[in-house]
Amino acid sequence: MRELFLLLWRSITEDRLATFGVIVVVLLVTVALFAPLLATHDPYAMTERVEGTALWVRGERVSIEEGIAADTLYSVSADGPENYIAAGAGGAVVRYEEGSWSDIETPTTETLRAISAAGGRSITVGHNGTVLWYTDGEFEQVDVPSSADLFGVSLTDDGTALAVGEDGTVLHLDDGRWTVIEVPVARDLTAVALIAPDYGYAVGARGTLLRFNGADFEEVASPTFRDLLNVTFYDRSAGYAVGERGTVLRYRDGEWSEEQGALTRTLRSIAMVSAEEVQVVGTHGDMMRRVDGTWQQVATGYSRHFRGITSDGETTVVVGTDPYINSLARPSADHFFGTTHNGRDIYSQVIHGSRTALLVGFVAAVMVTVIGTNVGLFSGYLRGRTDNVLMRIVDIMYALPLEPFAMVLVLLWRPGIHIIILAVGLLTWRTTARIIRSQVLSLADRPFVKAARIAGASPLRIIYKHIAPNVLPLAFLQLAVAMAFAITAEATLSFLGLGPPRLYSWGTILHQARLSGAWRTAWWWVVPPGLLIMLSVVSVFFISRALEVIANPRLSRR
Amino acid sequence: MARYIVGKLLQMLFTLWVILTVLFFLFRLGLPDPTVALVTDGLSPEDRAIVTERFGLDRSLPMQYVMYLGNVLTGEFGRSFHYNAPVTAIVGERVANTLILMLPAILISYTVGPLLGVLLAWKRGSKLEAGGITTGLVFRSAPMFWVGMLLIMFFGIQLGWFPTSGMRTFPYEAANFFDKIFTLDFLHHLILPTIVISLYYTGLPMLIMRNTMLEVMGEDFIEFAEARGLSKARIMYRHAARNALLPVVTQAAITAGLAVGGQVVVEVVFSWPGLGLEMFNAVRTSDYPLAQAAFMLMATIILLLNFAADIVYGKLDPRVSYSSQGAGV
Amino acid sequence: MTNTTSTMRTAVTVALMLTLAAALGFGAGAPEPEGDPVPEITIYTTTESYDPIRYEAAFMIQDAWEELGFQVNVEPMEFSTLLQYFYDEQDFDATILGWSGRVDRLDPQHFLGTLHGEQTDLGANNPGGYQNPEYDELFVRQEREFDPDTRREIVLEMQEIAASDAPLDVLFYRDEVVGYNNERFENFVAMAGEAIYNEWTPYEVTPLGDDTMLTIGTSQEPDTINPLDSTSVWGWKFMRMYYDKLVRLTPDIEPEPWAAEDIIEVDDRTVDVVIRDGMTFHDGEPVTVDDVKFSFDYFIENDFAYFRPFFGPIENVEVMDSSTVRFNLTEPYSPFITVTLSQIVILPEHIWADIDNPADLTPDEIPTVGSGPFKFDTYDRGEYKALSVFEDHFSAGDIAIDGIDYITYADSEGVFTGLLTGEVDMTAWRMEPGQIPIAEAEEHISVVTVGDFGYYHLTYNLRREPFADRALRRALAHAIDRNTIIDVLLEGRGEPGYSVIAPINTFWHNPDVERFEYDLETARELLEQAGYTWDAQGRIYAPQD
Repeated sequence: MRELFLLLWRSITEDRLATFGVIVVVLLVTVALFAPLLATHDPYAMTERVEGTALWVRGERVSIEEGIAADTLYSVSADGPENYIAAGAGGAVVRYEEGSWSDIETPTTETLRAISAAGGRSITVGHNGTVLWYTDGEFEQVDVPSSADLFGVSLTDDGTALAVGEDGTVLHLDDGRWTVIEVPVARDLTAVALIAPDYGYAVGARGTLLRFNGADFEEVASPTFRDLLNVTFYDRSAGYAVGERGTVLRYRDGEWSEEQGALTRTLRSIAMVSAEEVQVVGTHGDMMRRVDGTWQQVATGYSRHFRGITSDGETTVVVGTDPYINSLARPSADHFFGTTHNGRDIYSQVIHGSRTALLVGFVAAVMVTVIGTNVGLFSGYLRGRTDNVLMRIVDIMYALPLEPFAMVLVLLWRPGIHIIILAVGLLTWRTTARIIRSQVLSLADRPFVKAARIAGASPLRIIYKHIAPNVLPLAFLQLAVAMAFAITAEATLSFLGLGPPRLYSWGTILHQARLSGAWRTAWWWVVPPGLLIMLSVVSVFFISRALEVIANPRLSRR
Repeated sequence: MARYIVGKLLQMLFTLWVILTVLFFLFRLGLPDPTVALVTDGLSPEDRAIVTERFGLDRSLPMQYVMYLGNVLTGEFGRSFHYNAPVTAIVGERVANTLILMLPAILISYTVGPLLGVLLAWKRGSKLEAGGITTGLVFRSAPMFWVGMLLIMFFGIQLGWFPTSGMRTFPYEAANFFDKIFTLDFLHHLILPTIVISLYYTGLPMLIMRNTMLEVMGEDFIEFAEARGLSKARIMYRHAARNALLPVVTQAAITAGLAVGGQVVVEVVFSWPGLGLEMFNAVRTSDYPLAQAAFMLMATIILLLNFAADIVYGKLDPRVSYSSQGAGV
Repeated sequence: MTNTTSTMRTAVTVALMLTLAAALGFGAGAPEPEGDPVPEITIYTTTESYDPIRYEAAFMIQDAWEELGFQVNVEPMEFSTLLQYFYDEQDFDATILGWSGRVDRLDPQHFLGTLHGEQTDLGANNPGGYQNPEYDELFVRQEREFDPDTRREIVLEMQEIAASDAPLDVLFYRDEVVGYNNERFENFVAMAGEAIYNEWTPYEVTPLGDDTMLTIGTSQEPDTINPLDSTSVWGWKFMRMYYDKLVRLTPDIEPEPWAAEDIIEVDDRTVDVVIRDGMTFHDGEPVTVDDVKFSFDYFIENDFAYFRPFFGPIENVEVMDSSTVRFNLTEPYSPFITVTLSQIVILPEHIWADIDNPADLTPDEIPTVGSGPFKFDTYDRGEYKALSVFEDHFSAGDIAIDGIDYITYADSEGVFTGLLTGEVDMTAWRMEPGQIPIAEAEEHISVVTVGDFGYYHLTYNLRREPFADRALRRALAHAIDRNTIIDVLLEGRGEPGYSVIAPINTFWHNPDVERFEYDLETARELLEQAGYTWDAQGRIYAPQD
């Protein structure tokens, strides 16, 4: 035995390729063992990003400024030529002046949902009844008679304002005094547009439209039951409201009507440059503009969610970016192999995948070798009827194709790692059995076997004591070959979607890449797992070549 | 010899009968009811009963078995539940598609492979040999579906040189199967998948050839030839190679047998309407008659080819068998 | 090793338990729950390959429910197995499945029926076993109500009852997003549920270049092109182009007389149909009232399951004169014109009359002669189909193309590649979320989105603990993050669902049904109110009764 291992050691160290193979296998085993430590992310976690961003549209040119705030910006308003002010989560307010954005201190950490600038002043509202005035570069918190979450605000040049919020909350600012106005609905109100002290509209959930006449609100029949999320007026006779599912309502001369937009997801903000020139933004990077009476999609090239828009016709500023999935990110320091379409870290998946490959490879290979060697031993030594029956079973195994057979097993027992091992194990011991058998056939006539038989040794004893040690090198070789086969088979079956749920393997990663449709461009998703399959299989081949020299000394003769 | 062959054939029939029986009961007891999928189409339980009756699924299992066995003996494999058509027609068409995909690739592999094998044996100990062996093993290690994806990505989508899926461009006009496949357009579609399959399969005959060559080259008649002053190339390709070809031929038979089942993954990646894919989907949708016919066809061909290899070779040689391991992947 | 996260989760739980046990040992301690732990819940869903959306959604739901202290397993399985457990055996705790939006399901009957107390048998449409006498009574009333507005009132009320009982959670209605080549053709027609692969697109599209054959890419194959035997919508969508029907549904799903010149409702059980003059079959034979009568008789006689729901209570069909056919119904049936007359095709009597057992036809024997606007050319199974315009059809003058090619691909990836490379002009079935941005970025592809009135649902087995408890179901409904499922998995292309009647079915949909917003705190409070308790490890216990 010791001799055998020495021989093994020598043949591997003498063969450069085999040495390479052993090193790779050892590395892979190490990676598999320490996978949770080596992985930088939870392989299932859909990584999200959140930040305040500004998207600039000047003519046809679209550019993005990332990270102008740490968290989502909900609303933006122009408070002068080329001057903008935006408010967002955590009480953050940023102001654009002389070509750059700067933070402005506010006395709150509540989320600010809307901001409205007029007459050199701004007012911003947010959760838990937060209302802030911005005058002369300073923010000042105002006490209002409500602690409801406020979602929308609108300020006129002469200092009147309306703020709306959850469960039909409306606050009215007139003569410097805030009062609560009762409204006929209890639904959430999401936005308000006040264009004169006595004229405005509020919108809300389930298509709610409320008209303001300077003193109170009146519900207007709505052409939609969709949640409305924003409303803007250009003048008394022209306005727009938008909402979920691409809903666009047009207001013209006292009538609201539904208009066919160019988008189908949630729309969140409107900018009107004139009664006919309108732009709208929404979630998932959606943007559309109205050209000659029809809406056309504007490809922004981004998938982040937009919240607020303002435009003077020349320059359009869009703010936003709620948490969004960091999907299909290219390789970076954060994600070594990039991310999937669901924002999952591919590097971590590949690391975890090594466990599956090695586990299946090893367990299935041992199973194959144990079954195959034993069948070969008995078949070859006992011959006759036993041999015949066993060889017919081998024939049957040869005649079954792997993939459909694995599918049958999955339907019988549902997907799982044991199914893959079983499929590979059941179908591949056939070759081992044949090879061992023919070796045994030639050994059985050797003098030492005959001697043992004459000495009265039982067949079992002869098989395991006398013959088995002689086929051991060959069995070892088969183990290696079976392992290479098992790793490939596992990858193949997982690629076909037969792999166990929620267990990453290299085949599964490629399966998902293909399933998502993103594989044709996201090379970083396709290349690493395939390379690793190739590397591990070829390493095992290299090792098996070294083993072959021992098992089949004829080859090393020259 | 004749007795041996008849005996072998009887054995084969017996094996086929066992496979048929096992599959019959495995499918019917293990797989879901094929009519259940109709429920989402809005079929009421009573309406489903009609379908069940039409497919004869309402009879007892032994009864179904006996009837099936009787039909198979008369060459009747039943109707596919999914396609609502005789399975023989479907399987026949699919197997033709698969063969037209697999055979050229295997032919290339088993022409180029042995030639390279001779070369490697000739250049024993050279960098060429080491490089050749390594390359062969690397291509045998790269999963075909992955190589296929990479080739489609690069040559199909980036460069646009080759179609990325299917067998031909539509619409086309063809009177029969041969008209369909002997067109430039078809060849154009065949190139990428053929490259993928050939790259994978070439390594095996190459390595087998090299190993056998090394053995043959030690034999006396080679030394005679050398003594007679024949050129090295002549010795290698005329004398040694001819004697070393047998294991490769045997392996070719085994590989061809497995190829009938198709490479499901290649068919998936290239959207090739072949037998492997059909078999896979038939199992998935509990289409017993179709799945069973496909399995049986494949088993028959594999057994026949193995049998042929047996006849050619006398008995299986260990050198051939152990290197054939990867062939089934 | 079978599941790394669950191993880790177990490890963390064990560690927590040990710490807590230690803490308890020193006194303090949470009150020990008195009831039994809520049994483990297993969610059945599809495999990832079948539908990655439902697969991922199940795991999202698992995470949320586990946070409430439930023990939840997710078991993805092959689709047919899933259906078997759900419908045939009713052996499940909770299952994620879907109903597709077929035109006849715009009528609320079918979807409301999936909650009907009389459809709870094995194999029937209400496997969850929801039973509410009030709902069942309304169900019968709406079925018999012929005034649409009155019926609507009942339907809205039923939705309200069902929604607040939460016997199932409608997860989302998924948008149908398809694409077409805008450099080759224009004027595609979009219809709810069918997107642009509908009966009208071939009529309306106009070629922009020399190519006058509309090429459609599909991964769905007709099961057969035998109209008497087809069980799949894909066979039907192909055949309806070369067969004609008495009525066609317009893109707004309004019935429009087609092969019928006129439809006269004599009384609520008698409908007269006057057929159009001068129609011929593709073989030149005229279309007569006898062919119409024959077709309906033949369909009924060859009682094939798939078409049964379309027929309704036809007693008999009579030929009145050379242009009029009368349908006598056994009882009033409101969808007769919209469903029956619009779905059953006219077969040539001179061809089919000799076929006794149409279901036994082999593929080569199946007749393909119709009287529709297109005529049958080629069908190569799994690869290719072709139709060409029938110049003698009364509507042929409206058609700007010369015919339709259908290319079959192995999967949606293949179809999508065909669209990208210009091999096909339009897709028959939706694109996957990952493909859509790629398509949008292509100049030559236009993307069309339509809503669906089919829906995906998570249905509870109300026969089993813990789902028998309405309060628990309502709490769980608050623990399903529909918005994230849509935003992340569908990239916003769909909408959260609260009713079995979808919002795009505007007439029947009730927008005011109770909505369960995702809020784990609310869910926890609801459970507490219902008497559920938690042990020190956070595991939830059923109320002691």
